[in-house]
Amino acid sequence: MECQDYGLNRNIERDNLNLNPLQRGGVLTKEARKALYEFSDGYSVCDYCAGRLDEISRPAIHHFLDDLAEFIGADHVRTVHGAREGKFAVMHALCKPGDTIVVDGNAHYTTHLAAERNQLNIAEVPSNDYPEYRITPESFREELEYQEDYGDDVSLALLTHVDGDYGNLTDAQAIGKIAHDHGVPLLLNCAYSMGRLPVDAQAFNADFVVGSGHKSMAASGPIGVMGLKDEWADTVLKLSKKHAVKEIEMLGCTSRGAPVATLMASLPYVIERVKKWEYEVSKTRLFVDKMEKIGGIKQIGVKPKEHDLVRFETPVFDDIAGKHPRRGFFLYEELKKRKIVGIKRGQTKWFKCSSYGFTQEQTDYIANSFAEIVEKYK
Amino acid sequence: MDKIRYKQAQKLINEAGKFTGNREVLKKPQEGIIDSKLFGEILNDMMDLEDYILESRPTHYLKKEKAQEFCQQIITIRGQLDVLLGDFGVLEKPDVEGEIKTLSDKYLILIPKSNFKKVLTKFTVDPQKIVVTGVPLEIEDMKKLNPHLPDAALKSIEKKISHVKNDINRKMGQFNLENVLVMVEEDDSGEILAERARELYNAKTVSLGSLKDLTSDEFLKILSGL
Repeated sequence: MECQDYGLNRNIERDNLNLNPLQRGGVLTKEARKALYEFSDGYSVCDYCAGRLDEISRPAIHHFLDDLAEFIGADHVRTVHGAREGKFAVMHALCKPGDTIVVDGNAHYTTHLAAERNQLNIAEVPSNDYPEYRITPESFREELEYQEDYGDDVSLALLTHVDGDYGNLTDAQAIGKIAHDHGVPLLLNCAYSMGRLPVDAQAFNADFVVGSGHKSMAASGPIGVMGLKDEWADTVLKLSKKHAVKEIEMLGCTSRGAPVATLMASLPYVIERVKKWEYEVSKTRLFVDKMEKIGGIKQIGVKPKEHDLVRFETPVFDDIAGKHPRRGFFLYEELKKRKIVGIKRGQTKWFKCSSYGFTQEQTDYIANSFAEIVEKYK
Repeated sequence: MDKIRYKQAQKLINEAGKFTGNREVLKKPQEGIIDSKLFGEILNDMMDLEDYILESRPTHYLKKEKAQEFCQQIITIRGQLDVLLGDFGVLEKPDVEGEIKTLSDKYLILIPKSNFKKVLTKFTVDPQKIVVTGVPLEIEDMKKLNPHLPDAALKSIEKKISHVKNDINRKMGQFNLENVLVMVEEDDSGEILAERARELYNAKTVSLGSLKDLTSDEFLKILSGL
């Protein structure tokens, strides 16, 4: 059998500025690139394993997890295959089929799927209206109270720290306190925050936090992080009766080889980069300002921005698309000419983007390119 | 990056760049051993360069200072590749021993143990330009190292110190040397010897984990960096 050409080459990151928000935080550090090479074989971290991934001493995964726990303010940490697997594991350990969980209205689809796979009912906390789509502590309180009065017992509250649609940063600390006041544990989904901005599970009153290595922690996927408070360790990290050292929710071992090695290699860099979060936010605000000054472009979501993920409504590009022979593809093609990618082909009504990790010069180049395109078709 | 690789690379590039009517000829590969450690270093060094690519997007234009850094790293890698090729006879291997002989010639080398003298002479260092001290250079230093030594032993060590110092002075005069290099191991006695040699002879000092494990390449790197 002769296999087909799978087209396994990718120069997008080398040659272009990629605005796709989910690409920005997962770019490997040079240390991680080297680790990727060293640990590229399937079971490369398992040479000295005595049965538990989290206890491997060469490479020092056990020390790495200690550092990671300290970094995110958790008592225990495990690596998982992604934030979604972390959410699934927590739900599976805490809830029974038919239980109700309270989830914010901006939650990622994988939150819904994890709940569905666990046969849980979702009570949704709505966001406020256009154009903010803000999730407020008050709306969380109202939903928890409603469930108390008219609904079922709530097994878990899940809050999306920063959502992937609008890049709104929620008040985790306040919502965590509200959840606790109602006797409900809080799971904080930090896929878009852990590794970009400071996350402290304890300070946020979160019983659980999940993060994404490939989305925000400069690691090659699939890898995520699940942190938890000590009081939940027996429940979530429960051991198998048949295979005494294996943790059931982790199905024994989770992400091995290159994903965990790259996450480890990048951690020192990630610890440093979250300290520069204010710079990233101010760069984003400046970028939004420049984009809105073009005219016919409006930032959606909470203003001013508190996160690098930006959603723009762009009627100016949609108007151009209506008259352009390439219709909606014109924007993608004009950007591509300028070596900017990450906006979906054909999309002109709105788009999401991020300049996270780019220099100010590169970010200015991006904003100027959008202005140039508008000017060209005026 | 390793200066030795840099120098090797420069030498090879210089030689390759001398177009006197003869083109550089790559010889037919012979059997040999892949230097897997060096191979890994080359890959790592190449991966370091990716940062220049990412930071210079989308034009990949480098200003002069960055360009110099980038090219210097490429030259280093080129030198490393030449060493790999040299192991298979494709390129002439750099004359490490010849370079050691040249670079070490201006130093009187002080070492604490005689077994290291054999290592150095194997690297083509002139044995006459090596002094094995065996003891510190001042009696106070010996007391620091062993405060409980009896007076009789101290007297004998004092005599030995005097011999060593005479030897140093004699050889510096005989070979017209102005530079002293002290090579010690990273322990208390090594540190004390190095410190005293700096004070007495304005010596350059090198501390290593293990002197006897030093390779000729590493020694050349040390000499090149002095």
